[in-house]
Amino acid sequence: MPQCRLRSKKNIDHNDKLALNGGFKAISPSGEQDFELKDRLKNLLVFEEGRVVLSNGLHVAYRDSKGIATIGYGFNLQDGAAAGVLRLVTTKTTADLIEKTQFLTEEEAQSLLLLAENVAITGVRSFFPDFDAIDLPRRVVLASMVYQFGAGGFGKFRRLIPAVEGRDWPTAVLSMEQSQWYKSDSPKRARRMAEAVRSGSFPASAILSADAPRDSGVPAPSPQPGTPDPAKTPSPRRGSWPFDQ
Amino acid sequence: MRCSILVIGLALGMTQIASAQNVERQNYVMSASMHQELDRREFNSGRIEQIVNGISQALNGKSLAPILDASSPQVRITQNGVNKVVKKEQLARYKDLLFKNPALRSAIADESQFILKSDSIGLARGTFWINEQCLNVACDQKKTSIITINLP
Repeated sequence: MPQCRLRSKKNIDHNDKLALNGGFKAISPSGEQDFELKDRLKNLLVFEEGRVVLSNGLHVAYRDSKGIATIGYGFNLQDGAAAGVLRLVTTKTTADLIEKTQFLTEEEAQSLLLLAENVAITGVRSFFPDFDAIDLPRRVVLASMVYQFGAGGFGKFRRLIPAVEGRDWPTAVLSMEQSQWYKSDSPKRARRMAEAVRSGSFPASAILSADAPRDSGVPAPSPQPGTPDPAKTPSPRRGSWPFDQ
Repeated sequence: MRCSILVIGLALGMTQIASAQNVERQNYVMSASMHQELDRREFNSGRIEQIVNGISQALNGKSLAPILDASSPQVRITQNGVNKVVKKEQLARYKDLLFKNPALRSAIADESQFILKSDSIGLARGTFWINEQCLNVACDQKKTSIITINLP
């Protein structure tokens, strides 16, 4: 079953690397809208990727259904880029995590998810320069697909991409339904995503956290001279997480 | 005399009830919250519960049969970080690793060690993975089976 897009070397392409080099910086022209996109995408990914923690709340490594060492919200510890990505959030090594001599805190696991999420959003923007003009529910789905497959894998949906560009949603859904992803790899997840593209409504798991601002549909204002551009700095706000208590 | 027979009968009856309760206690009964989580992911929670019970009974009774019954024809096995796909009939060669592991016996039905993913569920922090596959385009017929065992 496909999992977090940081899974395999082939899934890390040039765009992914650019986004990783940017660390936590949001690379979006619309800060506020991006916050809702990221919040909903995060909630969807937490739902779809799953997690396991010890009784003390620390994330412990496990092997997934393909035998791949994984931690947090579907973070692939065996991926070629894993060590580099991990270094952005912790000094713990992939080897120690796989050996279970070290564990991730909830904050570290969340940071890894947010990093991968930023990579996915940058990746999806590379396919659709007018990404922000697409309605938000479908943006969430497209970003979640890039998260799952990586930009390289998403690029293989050859009929989906022009269909999205032309806002031809029936053709977009058809191309999803005819994929291996839908037929056998992740049929449940693929069905949920295809239904959202068909209807233009959010997948049920892509909820908006209680403390997140809603997308007003109005483009974010340009930053004033001398003030930091919110799109280029980490957001000080942090939406709530499903496991926050 | 009649009274003694009645007392013995009652005692036997009580023993049988207690024994049945012990067996009952070994059975995994899915919590309402887990049912809800599986329903949200469109899993057949009744079948998942059945498979968890089968694995649990296999580990407690040291019989591979319930695991074989619930396995897909081919199962992915990970041992010492190396993974391969074997026919389910070949699972017998790994049974000592599964059966001589008291921690696994107690972990298998521990819901806090379940991992719920889009299309599969990991038990005992990913030792067993159960997958649900659609059997037709409408996905109204599904097959739920053990697809992976990551050996402890």
